[in-house]
Amino acid sequence: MSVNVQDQMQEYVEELAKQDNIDPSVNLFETGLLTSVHVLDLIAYIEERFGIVVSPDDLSIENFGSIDAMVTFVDKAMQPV
Amino acid sequence: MLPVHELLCRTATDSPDREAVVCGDNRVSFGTVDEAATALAAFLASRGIGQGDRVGIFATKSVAEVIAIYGILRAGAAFVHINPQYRDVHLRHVIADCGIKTLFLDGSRARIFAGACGEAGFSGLVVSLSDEMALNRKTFCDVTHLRDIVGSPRQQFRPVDVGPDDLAAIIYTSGSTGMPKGIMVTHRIFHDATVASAEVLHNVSADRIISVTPFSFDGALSQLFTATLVGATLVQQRSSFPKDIVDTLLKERISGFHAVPSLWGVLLQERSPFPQYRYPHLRYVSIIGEVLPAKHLARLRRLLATTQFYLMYGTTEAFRSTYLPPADLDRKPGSAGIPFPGVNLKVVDDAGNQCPPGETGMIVHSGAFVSPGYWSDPERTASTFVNGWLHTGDQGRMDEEGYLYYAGRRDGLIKAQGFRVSPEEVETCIHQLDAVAEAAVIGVPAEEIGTAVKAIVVLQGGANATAKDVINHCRRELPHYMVPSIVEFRPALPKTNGHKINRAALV
Repeated sequence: MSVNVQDQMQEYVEELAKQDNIDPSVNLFETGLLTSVHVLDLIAYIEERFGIVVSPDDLSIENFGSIDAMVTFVDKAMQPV
Repeated sequence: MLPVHELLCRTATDSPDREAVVCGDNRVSFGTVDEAATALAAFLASRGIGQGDRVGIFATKSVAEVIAIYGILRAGAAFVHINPQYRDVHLRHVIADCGIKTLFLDGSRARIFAGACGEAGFSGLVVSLSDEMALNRKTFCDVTHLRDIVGSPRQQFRPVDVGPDDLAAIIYTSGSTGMPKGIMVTHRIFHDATVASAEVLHNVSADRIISVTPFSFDGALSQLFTATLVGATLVQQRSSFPKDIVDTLLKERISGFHAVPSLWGVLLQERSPFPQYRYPHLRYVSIIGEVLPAKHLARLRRLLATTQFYLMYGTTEAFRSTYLPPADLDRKPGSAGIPFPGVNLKVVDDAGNQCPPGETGMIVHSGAFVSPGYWSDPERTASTFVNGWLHTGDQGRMDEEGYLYYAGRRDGLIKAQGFRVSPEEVETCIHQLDAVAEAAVIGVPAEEIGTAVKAIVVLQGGANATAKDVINHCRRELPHYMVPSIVEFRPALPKTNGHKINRAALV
């Protein structure tokens, strides 16, 4: 797991949710920290910051539900094929 | 007339093993829901909760919240399903306004609820809907788990005799001014709307209906009760990510889908996988809440060639007013259709006289589904419900054949993402910023989502604030759909003669 990705995602999600010290394993949507309207912000950030392309079939709560999930998703997408 | 919790009993007796509710991997039959609801009603009765009580539910989509709704009704009490997006101010308002002393709480909402209670905590009874929820004893002093209630040996329960005009629920919704108001719903309204909806949508026991909207909205309740009436399956959808909704539509072979236009906007946007798949099981789609942009409807009809589309209009004060029969879609483009069975609908001018066809006026509704009024607000009730006619505050016109065309709000109320947004509430929030001298909030047309919330702000002399400051402040304080997406700074706001902000001049 990339520490850099983890830190950056943590910081960005905390800015979106307006809350500090978010548990990276917590489901951001079920706890109401984020809502579906934040999803497009998240994708734009991930694509721009990490230079990866998020495809429609990636748009699930499995990939975007928590900070940890997003980090795993980004790490996987950044690996050379 | 059978109240909806008796309809559950009837369906459970006829088909106990039929699948009633699905949420993720959790699948329960009508027999199970019915037994759990009775166990819960017995427990509530043993705690002295019954007729005359209001019981809150603060939860996300689950099987447990369905059991809570039926258990509360069976105990003779009224349920208040609190919008899961509500935060501090709105939560405190609802709890205080209708005097909630018993609350069904989902683990995912515990922290938000505890935050709203603050130091004082919540002195009432809390029934936890989640198995693993650990609650702070300083905030919550009286906690029971639904799992234990349902799992314990069956208690004696004497069915409560509810009358058709007894209170079954209070639904909180935003008005054009002030905090959310509680709309009272009786057992008769739930029953009549359930029967009428099933008739219009031709619901049958083979239906599998996806439920995306929280039960704090009448449309979602209508689906739940309709499924119970006909013995259909309700599939609770937790995630509103496009990919997850698509997965559920395919995997669960969904046949009925009810959603507000903004959800269709999300499903049709560039990033959504929705257009890539086929949905041969999707028998019907119903759309209510605001006007679906014509281009979205046209695209949906191309993508879902074998699906029937029902466009509907209604207000929570009268549940459902009109529907457009699918056969009329091309003949009456843009129309919200004809009244539901039992509903009388008129368009009236300022003097209360019926407008001739084609002329725009206020939509008024009488007959079936009309609420007895707002909870503990006789003044507002008297001015909104006049001689049995609900004055919706919505503008519209009717054609020669009696088809309704919706023409927006008259009082500044914004319908954004399917939610009613009071401009005044958002303005009050923006005014909390020291840098702000004046603020006005309006709805403006937006590509994907239908209507966007726009704030026009005048700053104090010498003060500095950016659009981001305003938006961030609102995000902290308000539910997400109330947060402005556009902020414009101006040197002054247009005023009417009465020195009120002239919102019409801002558009």
